[in-house]
Amino acid sequence: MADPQDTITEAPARLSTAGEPVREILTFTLGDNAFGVPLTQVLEILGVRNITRVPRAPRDVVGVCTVRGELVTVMDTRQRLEPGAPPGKNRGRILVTRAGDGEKVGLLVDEVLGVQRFTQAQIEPTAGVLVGDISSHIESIARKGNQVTVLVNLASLTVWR
Amino acid sequence: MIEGGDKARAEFLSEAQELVENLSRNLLSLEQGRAGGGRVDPEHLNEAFRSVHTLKSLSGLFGDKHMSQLSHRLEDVLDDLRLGRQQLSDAVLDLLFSSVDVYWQILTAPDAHEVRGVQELLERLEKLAPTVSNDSGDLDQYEIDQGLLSVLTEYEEHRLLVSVKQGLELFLVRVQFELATLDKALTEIKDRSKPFGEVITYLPAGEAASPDLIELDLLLASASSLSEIEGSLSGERVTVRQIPRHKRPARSVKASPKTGGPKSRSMTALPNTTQGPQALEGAEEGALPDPGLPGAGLLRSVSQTVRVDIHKLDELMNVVGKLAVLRGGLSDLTENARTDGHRKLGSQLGHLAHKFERSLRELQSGILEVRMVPLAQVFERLTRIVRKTSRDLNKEVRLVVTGAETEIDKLIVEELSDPLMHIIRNAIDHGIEDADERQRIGKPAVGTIALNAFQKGNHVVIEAEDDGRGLNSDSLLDRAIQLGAIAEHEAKELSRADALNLVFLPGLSTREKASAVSGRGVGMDVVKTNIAKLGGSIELESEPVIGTKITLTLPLTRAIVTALLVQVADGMFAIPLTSISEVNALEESRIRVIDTTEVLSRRGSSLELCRLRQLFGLTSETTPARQFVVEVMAGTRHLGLVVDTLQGQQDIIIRPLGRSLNQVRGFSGASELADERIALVLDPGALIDEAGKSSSRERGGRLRLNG
Repeated sequence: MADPQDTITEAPARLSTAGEPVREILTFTLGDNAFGVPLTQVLEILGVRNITRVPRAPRDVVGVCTVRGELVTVMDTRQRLEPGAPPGKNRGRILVTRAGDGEKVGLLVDEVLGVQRFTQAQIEPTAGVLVGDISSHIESIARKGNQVTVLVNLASLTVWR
Repeated sequence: MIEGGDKARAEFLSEAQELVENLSRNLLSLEQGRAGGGRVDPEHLNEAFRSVHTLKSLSGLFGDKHMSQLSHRLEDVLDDLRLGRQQLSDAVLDLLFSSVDVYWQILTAPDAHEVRGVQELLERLEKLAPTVSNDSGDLDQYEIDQGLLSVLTEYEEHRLLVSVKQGLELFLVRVQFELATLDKALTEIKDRSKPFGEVITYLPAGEAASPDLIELDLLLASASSLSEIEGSLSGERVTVRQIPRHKRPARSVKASPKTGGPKSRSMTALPNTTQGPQALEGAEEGALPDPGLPGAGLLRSVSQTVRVDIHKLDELMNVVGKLAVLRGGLSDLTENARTDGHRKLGSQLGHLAHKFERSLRELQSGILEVRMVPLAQVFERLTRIVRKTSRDLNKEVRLVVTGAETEIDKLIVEELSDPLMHIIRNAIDHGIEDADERQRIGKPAVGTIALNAFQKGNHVVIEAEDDGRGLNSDSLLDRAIQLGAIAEHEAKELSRADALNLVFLPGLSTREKASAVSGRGVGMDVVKTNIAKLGGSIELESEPVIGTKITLTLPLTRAIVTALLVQVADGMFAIPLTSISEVNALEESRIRVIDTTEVLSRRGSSLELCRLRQLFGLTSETTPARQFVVEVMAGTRHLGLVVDTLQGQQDIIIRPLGRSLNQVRGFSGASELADERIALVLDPGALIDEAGKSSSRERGGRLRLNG
């Protein structure tokens, strides 16, 4: 746990070695960009399974699938965060999270990178910097050296219009 | 997870609620009994008393001060009533009904401070002093065994005196029961003698022919003759004897009600007659129900009842669903074994799969059965609403209920309460005229709302019919034009039935002024939406002056549904069997196009078609050479869904689509199939609405019915 740049997979710790509070972020890719969501809000990570398309559904809904008997709506995260990006090469992963109203929502992403810990100093708020539809889903940007991770506002992302 | 304390509290609330409902039901029965000729069934008073008695102990246990005080006081009043020390007057009945309202407040208020009127009610209850005194003089004219009289409880003595005052004859019915089935047999004979009179008490007679039998004397008060009673109660081991009247005056029983008379023949089997029937509990005949509290057997049967959270049953149903998936796997395995040449193994597996299937079905129907409850649960609440609403509006309304015993899934019953309440309130507020107006147009002063429920196949139908003024289609049209839902020229083309359906438009009210009772036009569209959520449909008929009839058609259960699976392009869809009336191969030659709507003509009628491929924008590389028409219905409306292939039937558990897919019309949910694929479950009602809308639009130009 010495180097905070490492991808950490052990049980989450609340403080960095320097004693500062850290945030644990599950990072994933869409196209060429890295995104992250708070680890505590991800219930599980699924391999892509049979997703049933729902006719007449909004464009950013891929469809529905079941997880141990429970129905999960799978959202096309790309449509919301990276509308222009080409589809990923891998089959992808589904991050299961819970929307504000308790509904289980799956976020379809290209690849899961792992868990990273960021100190507060590494996180820059984006409020007022970005504009447009996508910006409302973005909470802040975390930097480590050259690597930029866009932290996603799950509450906004999983609201359906 | 809820904590233990909360869980206990939730149990307490649900039990208390049941008891208050029970109290309310019995009060209503009492009121009806009084209205219908004055005869009051004492059993209703007893039931009410028992409910309050239990409420008292419960509230004590949970430290609910308001409820405890109220129950305490109410118990005294009800005790006075059942012992005849208090006359059941309108004023008393009103107080009792107010108590029910206060109980509801206590049970539903989040905070004890918000409960109002408790003190005032307590004071008014306090003021009810006993008004009647018992006089036992009339009893002297009968040759009643003093031993028997001496063991009567105060209540039984009161009932006996009431019967004698009414000039009833007294009979002694001697019966022999098997000890093992005593409770049941006793209830049965009480029920059988009920049409003739009242069983005042029963005592062991102690002359049973075998040790497995018990002999009882039932003291019956009746207006019927000896031969009539013999005729109806006859059976082996039953003898009826009339207690004769005599001229010479006997000593008053009141003087020694409980001091123990001379030992009678009928009491010889008892170890100690002076302690009365309560002492029987430990007697060798086994446990008898406490006759001091008739129906005390009820307390015992309660202990055999388990209160279960309905969601636990949902979880069990999920397990059934998973087992069904496993069964699918087992069938595949069987098939594999057979094709791989393991014939013996295959047939053994097949046998096992068959047994598994049968047990699974039993399990499934068992769970469904547990979920079923009579509609009476919700109808009783409505009775109370009719009473209150008609009073508030100063109208006289009679509610006639039939089919309250019809059973339906508990979850559906819960959700029915609000829609039915809306319908009934609307009927009283907007439908039923006030008494003066009714009499002016030659209607009976008292308005009637009939609530009929019955089972029809896999559906339950509930009709709410009033004899009020009916809906005014002109003012509905005016409002719809005002709202901009239809244009004036369209209004002229609408049939009366279509015009009436405007009442389901959001935000439409025919009343200029909102009323406190049914509010302003938030009613019927919400009712329709809520009924649709339950997989049901709603229809409305109305004739001016004659009245309005609203028909709800609901599935028996939503927990598990048998569905027809159909394929359209690459998509798999499930259609609940309950809403399918027919399935046929599609004959293109029979299709006619009216405006832009495809209609299938057949046997003199026609059926509007809806091609799911087009509706859902589904395409596949190959177009099937042959398609099928699945005719679905909602209430009386039909629609033919055109699908590619039929994939057989399956019992499915419908899961609602999440909020994100709320806006997607035409589906009531999705279901995981036995092969782990997902089928979307079609909502025939919504599809029919949609088809109706689009065809009306094509006819009328711009019509937006149902929003």
